[in-house]
Amino acid sequence: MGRILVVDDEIEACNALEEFLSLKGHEVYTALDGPTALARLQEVRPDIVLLDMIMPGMEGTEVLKKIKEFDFDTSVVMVTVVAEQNKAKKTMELGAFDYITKPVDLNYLENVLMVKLLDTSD
Amino acid sequence: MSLSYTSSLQRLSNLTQKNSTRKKTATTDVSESPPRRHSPRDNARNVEFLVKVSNIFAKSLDIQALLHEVIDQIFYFMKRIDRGAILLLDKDTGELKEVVSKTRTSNHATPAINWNRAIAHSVVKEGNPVVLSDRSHQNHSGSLDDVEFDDILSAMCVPLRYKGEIQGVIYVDSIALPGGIRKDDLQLLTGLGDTAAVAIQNARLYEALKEELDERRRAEEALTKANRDLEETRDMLVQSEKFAAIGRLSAAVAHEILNPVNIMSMRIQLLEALGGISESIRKPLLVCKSQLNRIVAITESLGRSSRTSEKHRVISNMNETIESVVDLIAPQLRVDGIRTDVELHAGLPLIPMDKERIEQVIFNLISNATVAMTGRETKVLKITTKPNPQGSVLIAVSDTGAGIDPCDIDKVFDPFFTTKDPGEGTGLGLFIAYSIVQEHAGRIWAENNESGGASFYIDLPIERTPNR
Repeated sequence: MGRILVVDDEIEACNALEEFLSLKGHEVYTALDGPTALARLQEVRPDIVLLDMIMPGMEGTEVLKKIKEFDFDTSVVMVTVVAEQNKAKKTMELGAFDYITKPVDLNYLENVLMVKLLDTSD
Repeated sequence: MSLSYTSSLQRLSNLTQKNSTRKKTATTDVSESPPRRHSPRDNARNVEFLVKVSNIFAKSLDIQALLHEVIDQIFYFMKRIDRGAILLLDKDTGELKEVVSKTRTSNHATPAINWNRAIAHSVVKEGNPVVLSDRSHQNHSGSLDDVEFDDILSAMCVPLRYKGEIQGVIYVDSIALPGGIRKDDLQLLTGLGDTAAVAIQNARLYEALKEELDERRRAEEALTKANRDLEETRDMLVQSEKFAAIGRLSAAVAHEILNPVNIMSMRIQLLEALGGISESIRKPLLVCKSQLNRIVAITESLGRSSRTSEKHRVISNMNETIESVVDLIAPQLRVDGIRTDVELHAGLPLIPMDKERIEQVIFNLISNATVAMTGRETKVLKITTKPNPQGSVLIAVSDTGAGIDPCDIDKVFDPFFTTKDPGEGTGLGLFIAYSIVQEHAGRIWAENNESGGASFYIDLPIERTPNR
């Protein structure tokens, strides 16, 4: 199981993801905006960051770049909407591990996370 | 406008009665010798001629037709002339133009006669009638000395004068018979000249008036057309502006809606993951899930209707684009019992397009046609392409469905317009097609086929025109 940092400006989205991922045995941390997420990054040292693409203030792409600057090995999964898929694809070039679309299919998300976690643990 | 020839008629009548020449002629010798007074027969002839000609003038406002009849009458009353012409003065060039001519041996189809220029111009210049008596025994003198007379034995030319202004001349001559011109012929022709001048003036006024009216009517028609074009353009602009605004708004709204939907969806999934849900709760949860999926489908469609940048456009072959969509959808069409008839023009010009988006348009139109043919006996989907000479490519997607209610034909592209049952379609397929065609500076419209069913047409420009 891993250490997951959930970054979403919607608190209810954070809560739902936190509950689900905790249920699956992960250690879950949350942040409601980019700067908070970057601050928590240092103390939490997550295996995976679940990062919303569209947030007020600092956008997901911007946060992704900062995370990669801080520690390139931190895995980031972008959360986006279908209409923004092209942008999401581009984040993979910036070092994102994968992207999932809203509404989030939780089982699919768990699979993505497990693949990455198993991959990292090898 | 009223025709007034009475005064001239009166003058001519007086002239013939008084038996006197009104104007001095260039040559006063006339062929008949000794000079004699007009016989009552001459007067009767002149009056008869006058009446006939007056009737002609009263009847017609067409200069050409009018003068043809006049010249016929001149030939009828002047038995010994061989040729005749009515020449009108072109006010712009000052030249005499032959309007009608006639010879004794032919009818109106006579080509222009070789009327004596010197005589005619002398009449225009001096304003007086000219009579050339029989040249077989007469020496002429004065200004006509240098004239080459050819075979003219005698000639007469009178001015057509209206309000003191020369409008033209009536010219007659005799080339075969000596003594072709009689003395009273001058009076006849002079009187006629005055009368004809009034009629010609009337006809000219009438023509000018008619021309002015025609011009006004043409101007009015042009104005009406311009107004109509303007209205159409305005409607199109309003329509396209409306759609552009809806597109932008819907993309934003779609995104805002997805966030709460995402949370609700995750909550339901969480409940399922927690387990221990009774059957009575599982069913309503499934309903909630499927309804959420419906919302997602709508928002995703709305997202697709919003504009993409022109960067994605590449020069592509429309036929290939259509074929790739048809290939993809063909198995489903077969399942639905739809016959597909694809006629793609081989030499189609290439078009700059966002291929994925145009594929979406074609896909939406085909889906729309497919649904329109549900339950119909004949199901034929026809797709054609052809080049439009105006620099575009025309694509038509036709079905054999029930057609579109004429009241709805302007609404089919409106967002959320649907005739399907609730939940069956989002009502966004055609709206998306419209938005995408707009992005490509093209046109899309629907028509009902004469043979039943509907056709959707897309006209996409070959050249990349700057989009608003």
